[in-house]
Amino acid sequence: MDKRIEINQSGFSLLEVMFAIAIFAGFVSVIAQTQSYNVQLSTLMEEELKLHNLAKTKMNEVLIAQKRFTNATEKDPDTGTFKGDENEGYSYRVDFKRTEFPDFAQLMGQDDDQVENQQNQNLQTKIFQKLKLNIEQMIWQVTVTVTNTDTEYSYELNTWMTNQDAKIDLNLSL
Amino acid sequence: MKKLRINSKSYFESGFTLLEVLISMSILSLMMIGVIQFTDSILEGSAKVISEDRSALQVETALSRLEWDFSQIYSPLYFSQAQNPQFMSEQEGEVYNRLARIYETNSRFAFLSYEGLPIPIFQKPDKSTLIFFTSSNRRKLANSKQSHYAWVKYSLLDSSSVENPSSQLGSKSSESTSVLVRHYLSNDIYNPRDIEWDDLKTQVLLRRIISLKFEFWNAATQKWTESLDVVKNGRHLIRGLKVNLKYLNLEDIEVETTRVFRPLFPDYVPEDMYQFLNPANSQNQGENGAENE
Repeated sequence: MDKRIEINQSGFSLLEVMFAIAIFAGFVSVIAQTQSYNVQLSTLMEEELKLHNLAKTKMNEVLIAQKRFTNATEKDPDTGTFKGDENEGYSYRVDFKRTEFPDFAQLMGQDDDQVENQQNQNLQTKIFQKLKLNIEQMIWQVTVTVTNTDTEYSYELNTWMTNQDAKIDLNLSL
Repeated sequence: MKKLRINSKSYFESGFTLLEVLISMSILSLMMIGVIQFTDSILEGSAKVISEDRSALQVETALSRLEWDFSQIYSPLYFSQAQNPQFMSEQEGEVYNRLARIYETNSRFAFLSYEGLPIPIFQKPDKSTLIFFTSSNRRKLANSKQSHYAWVKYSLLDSSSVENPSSQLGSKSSESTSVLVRHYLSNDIYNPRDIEWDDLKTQVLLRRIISLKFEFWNAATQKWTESLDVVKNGRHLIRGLKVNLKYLNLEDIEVETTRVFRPLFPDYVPEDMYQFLNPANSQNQGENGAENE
């Protein structure tokens, strides 16, 4: 009789209660995480769209304004911040770089012992050198980097530009 | 006594008392309220995120539609030059005069290029309307009488004149806003008459717009200008387009965005074909060539 009363009033053991709480906590934390992940993804998407749009707009501006290239262009990146309230906290940097062309030997994968067609190759090398010089004059690389100065998130776009003033030299005699 | 014993025995075997059940139910209901509130806030949050993302993407979609059309804007002046009667023989001049008279009354094309291609007229009738000729058309049916070319018009319409299928979105402020719409003509594009834009299907791109502004790149001054007439050849040749858009987001907060679009045609000055026809010029050309060497 006394025993019966004890059994009925004993309830859950500490272990059982802790298990139950642990399971519930796991469930809650998973839901909360999913939710914060959703919000995080959404914020990230918004930020990326913004950076992408700013970079694209800047790139288009650079491409439309006919840039004059000089020897100093390479060492003189164009930096600044975007105008307007909605673009506050975003900075840009526009780098110009000469196109680098690999050497003829590198391109052809040549070894030193291939001396049979020496005559022929000399001419090829000469033509190639000319081509290389011309292309390096004509084509420039542009890189636009947009950075959110608060979060340090950045986005980069690259393209090529042609130099309108490039003089093409086809004289092979030199 | 015996009876009582039985009774007290059944007291222990009969489960919970009413009081116990009531207390447990009230505790459970309090807990359930908490859980329901929690789940509800999560669902609400995710729905809000989804609708915010959707409206952000809507803006992107509308602007990328404009970018797609504008990047493929077409005019022979991007790669050629206008016909010049000065260097023509008498017979050619007669043909030219006859054609020129036709183009005088043509409201869509202005004159001919060196190759004899009609040069379209781009228009900006008001601050937020732009009409241009694009090569972004794609035929949906084989053998239909269409080409890649089409006339396209972007403009703002009063929101009351456009039906809104999702009227629950129409809050108080959406009544004073406008709608960005696109009209598209891909049939009979060389017809010389004015285009009846009102007869064409209206495509709604974006709602709740406060203002829209188009600006054009003026290569001579290296600045943006609002008038096509200021730009040299601007009515037939646009080098860059700046779009400034102000709209209301879901929270009725004004958002402003500015984009720059450019045509896919490379920016270069086409070779002057008449230079080779004119003997005086061609002599100069020879001298220049000698200098280059």
